[in-house]
Amino acid sequence: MYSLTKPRIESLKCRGSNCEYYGNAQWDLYCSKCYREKVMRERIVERRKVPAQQQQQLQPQPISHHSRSPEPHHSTVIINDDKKSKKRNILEVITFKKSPNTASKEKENKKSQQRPEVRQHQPIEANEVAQLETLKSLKISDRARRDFKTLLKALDKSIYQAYHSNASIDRISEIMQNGYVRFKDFMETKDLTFYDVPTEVKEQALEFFEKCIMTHHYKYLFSPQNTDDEEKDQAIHKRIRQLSWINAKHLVCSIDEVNAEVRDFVYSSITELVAMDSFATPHEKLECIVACCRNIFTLLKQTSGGPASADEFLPALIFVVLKANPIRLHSNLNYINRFSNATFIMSGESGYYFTNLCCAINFIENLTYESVSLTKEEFDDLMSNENHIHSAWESALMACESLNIISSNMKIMKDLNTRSHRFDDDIKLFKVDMKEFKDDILKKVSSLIKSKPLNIKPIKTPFKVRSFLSGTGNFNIRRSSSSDSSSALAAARQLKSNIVTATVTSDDKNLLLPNASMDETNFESLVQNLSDTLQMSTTAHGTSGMLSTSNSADLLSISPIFGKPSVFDSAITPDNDLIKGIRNINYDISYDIDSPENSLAEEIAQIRKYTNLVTQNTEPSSTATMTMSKSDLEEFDPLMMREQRSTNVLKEADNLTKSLIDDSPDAPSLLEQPLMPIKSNPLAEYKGLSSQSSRIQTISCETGQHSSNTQK
Amino acid sequence: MARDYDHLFKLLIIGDSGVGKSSLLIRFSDNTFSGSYITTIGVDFKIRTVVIGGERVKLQIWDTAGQERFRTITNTYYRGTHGVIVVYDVTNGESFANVKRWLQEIDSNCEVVNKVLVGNKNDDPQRKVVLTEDAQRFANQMGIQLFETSAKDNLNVEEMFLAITEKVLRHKKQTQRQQIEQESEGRIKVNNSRDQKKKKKCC
Repeated sequence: MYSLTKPRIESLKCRGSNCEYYGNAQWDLYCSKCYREKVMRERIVERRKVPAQQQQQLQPQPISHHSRSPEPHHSTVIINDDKKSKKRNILEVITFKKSPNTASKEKENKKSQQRPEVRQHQPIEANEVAQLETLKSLKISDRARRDFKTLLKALDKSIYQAYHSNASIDRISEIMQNGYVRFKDFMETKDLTFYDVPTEVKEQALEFFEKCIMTHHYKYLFSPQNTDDEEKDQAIHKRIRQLSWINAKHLVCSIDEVNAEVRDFVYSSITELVAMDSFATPHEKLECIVACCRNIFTLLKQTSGGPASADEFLPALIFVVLKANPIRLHSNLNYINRFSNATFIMSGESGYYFTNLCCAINFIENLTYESVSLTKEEFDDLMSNENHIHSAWESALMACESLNIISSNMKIMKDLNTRSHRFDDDIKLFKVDMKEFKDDILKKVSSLIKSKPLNIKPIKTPFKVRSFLSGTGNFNIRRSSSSDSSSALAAARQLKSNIVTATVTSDDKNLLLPNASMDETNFESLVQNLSDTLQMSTTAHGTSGMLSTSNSADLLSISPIFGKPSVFDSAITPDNDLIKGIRNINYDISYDIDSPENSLAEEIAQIRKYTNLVTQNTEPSSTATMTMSKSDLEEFDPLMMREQRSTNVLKEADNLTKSLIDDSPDAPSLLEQPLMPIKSNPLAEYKGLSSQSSRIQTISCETGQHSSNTQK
Repeated sequence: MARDYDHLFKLLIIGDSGVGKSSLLIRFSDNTFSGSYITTIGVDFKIRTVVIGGERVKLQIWDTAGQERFRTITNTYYRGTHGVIVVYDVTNGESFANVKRWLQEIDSNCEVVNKVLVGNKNDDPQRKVVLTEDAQRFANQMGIQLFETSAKDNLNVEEMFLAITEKVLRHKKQTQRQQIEQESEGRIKVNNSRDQKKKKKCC
């Protein structure tokens, strides 16, 4: 059994080596872990492949157009391949040599890579299509176009034949030159299709003529086998590499190798010169040379501060050629020489620069110790030690490299510095803004406080309350009198009537109680706490030293006045400015103002009477406490009443509060209450309470300030 | 014809380094003098069209490097050259002594070419080393016209260039006439030789 099942189990196992887990058909019979690993590995391999392919596509491009059509001589083809590979090596060496990581160098490489891409990737058909387009764009008549085509075809055919009949390159060159001349003559001849065409168009046509032919035959005519162009290319390439030690001083040229600007010009010149190889037509190659030389002239103009002469130009050009070491230099020059329209290389700007370039190469080939003003020994030493000595240019390059990095770093540092400065400035500005804002707010607050001073006006207390007050006052006094002096007896007699009224109004009071108690329930805890502290403070004051014991309930009742603002404070959200807090306080007052003032004087009189009575009954020092207690009593007598008086009232109150709370489940906010003037009786009570004594002013002010402080 | 010139000539300026070839060229083509302090115009490639005898002649003037070490390589410049201006410095005897070598150079590079000898920097008699008589004697001996110029003071520059242009133009017309005469005589001959050549190579 076991032996039978075992293979089955084995087959179920993960295919991964040394894996004990079971495989799954979904994961190619791997376990999940092994499968993931496998996939990852494959991805990595793929990723590596892609750039490699790209490189392969890119690498041989400059050489690809060098390949010739299959030739009868197989041996030469093989040799060719050999050479090609050599060239590739050289190319690689060049690209390696030429790519110190400067931006301009990279640009150069890119350029030289991109250009062939654009040129050579086009298949011949595409080329022809493009050529047809160009032909159409030429502003010539259809007949002229037809003539152009016939001439082109004739020349094309003759060159093709010449090539395939193994004619020498000079012979083909002659055919080409004759073709140019014939075409030019054709254009100049009277009564023919091209005669009335403007000169510029003729020039364009001639250029296009050249382009058509030369693009078509480029691969046959560029560096052909039956010449020694390639050997010469290699020779000059080697020679230039040997001469890598040559610097500007040796050539007595004014190029400053260490100057960054000069270097950039040299780089762009080198770029142009190297790019020459990537173009198919002699005309385009010449344009590269012209661009290169123009760069050199601009450079010389800048360094010498004046116009440059050929005395300075030629050494500079030699320097550039030496440092560029363009590939297939001879092939290119010969190609231009053979197949370019002779007028372009004999005269004109392109001719001048081409001639100069030929001279430069001639100079390099025939360079001796004398031409670089060295002794023979020095020269030989330098030539033999080429591999060991870093050339001045290279070291300059390296130096420039580091300088470049330094300068770029400096730039970055500068940038960072300016940014940090800006940041600092912004911070300062922000600070100023903050300060301004703060001042502004303070000003606003102070102006508000000024414009609406906290004038706590005596407020008329509604009759009921007053009567109640008087009643409580009587209680108070009675209490105090009972505890205190006997001299108040006379006054007590007077108060009897008041007591009567108090008892009469007690029913009304009872009605008031529930409302008051509702507030109390909200306040109660706070009030308790505050009253405790206040009690302590008041005792400390000593003003109510004697009263403290008797008036504990009274002292307790002080708290609401304190409690209220404190509740405000706590209720005020940070959004609501302290202004609101102030407004609230003011509201209290303004509310007082709103209340009918007709009985103001009456009330004052009442209070005075009270105080008089109190002073009669108690010691004059206790007036303060008395007033306070008075105010307390106004509000919290109900409480006391509750404690002291009938349980009926309490029950009633409890019932009422409950019902009220039930009615308004979202317990009425403490803030709102003073703002809601409609609730007549208890609020009137509050009013009266909070604004009752003018001495409280300072306290409420303090709380106001406190709240503003917290706001900040 | 839309062409803006009747003749196009290529002139070459040769002479020792520092004799003022470029200055002459700039003076002629831009009518400015380029001391190290005046202008920033450079010698890119100078072309100027002059009118001689009602014919527009476009002049391309090629500046060359005069340094000793470049002497052997400048032969490529001579290709297609119509006229050569040999310049020496009247304040520098050596440059005058080298004129002979320059003339030899010309002879070895082109068969028939119009030449003119120019003694430049002729603006400070105190510093003048090469006497006009000596130079004139030498010029006569070589059969070349002599000009003493100053690019700085714009002395004789225009005259010198016009003279060489005229010479080249006259020479061109002469050769053209000769060509026409020759062609009428030896047309068949030339054609024959060409055909023979062709046949040889084709096989």
